[in-house]
Amino acid sequence: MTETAPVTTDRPDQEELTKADIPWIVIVWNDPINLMSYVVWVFQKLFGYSLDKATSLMLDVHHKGKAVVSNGSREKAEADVFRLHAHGLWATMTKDR
Amino acid sequence: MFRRRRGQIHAEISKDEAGLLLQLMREYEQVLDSNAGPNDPVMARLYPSASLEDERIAHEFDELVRGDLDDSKRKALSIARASLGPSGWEGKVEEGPLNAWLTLLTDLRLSIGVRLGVTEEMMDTVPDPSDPKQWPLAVLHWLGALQESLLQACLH
Repeated sequence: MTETAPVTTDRPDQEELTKADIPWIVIVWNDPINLMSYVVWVFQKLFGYSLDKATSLMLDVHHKGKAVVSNGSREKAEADVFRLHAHGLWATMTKDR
Repeated sequence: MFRRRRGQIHAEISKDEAGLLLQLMREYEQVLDSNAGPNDPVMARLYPSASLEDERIAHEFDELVRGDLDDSKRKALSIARASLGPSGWEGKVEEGPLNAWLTLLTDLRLSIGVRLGVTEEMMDTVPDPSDPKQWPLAVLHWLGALQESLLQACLH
């Protein structure tokens, strides 16, 4: 991602995303083109995340190369991956093991 | 560029800027129309695989949503294009065009950036406008500034 404005945030809070009983996870991967501020906007718009949470996830994508952004049934994961692709983000889904 | 004025988002796109945007939109539409397969890196990025490790999942997903994804790209293109007149665009940005412009600018940037094979290091360099070879990178940066102005106008 491309940096256009400095951002600061608290540590990510992803506890609800890593429960063992959740079958599918949706992962967003880093790319060198999308703007950081745009990725934050997409996370807020699609998932209703707070600015802090959306910013944490974006920074995870940027620094670690990927982040888990949502989870649930296969149908929910497919719908989320579709919406992310429709917004130009590179997302995949996988069974959470 | 875009800016917030009296609580509303306004577009200020000159005639020359509109001309460049329309040209980029035509080139983008040609990519969508080309039906190039997933071996084309731009198509692979505009219509990504939904699974890295399971081809069956990726194939089923593609069957399920390919048409809808294509529709959403063409709808954004059509809405964004309709807001540009021959002399540019001056005026309020409504909700529909706002979303269309944000996603279209993303796809325009992805198309150009992937074709150029840009890296994060390349994105950090300032293109030299006197070098024609660097014009595509300059266009990519300009589209980024345009998109950033729209995002900032959404926030403030």
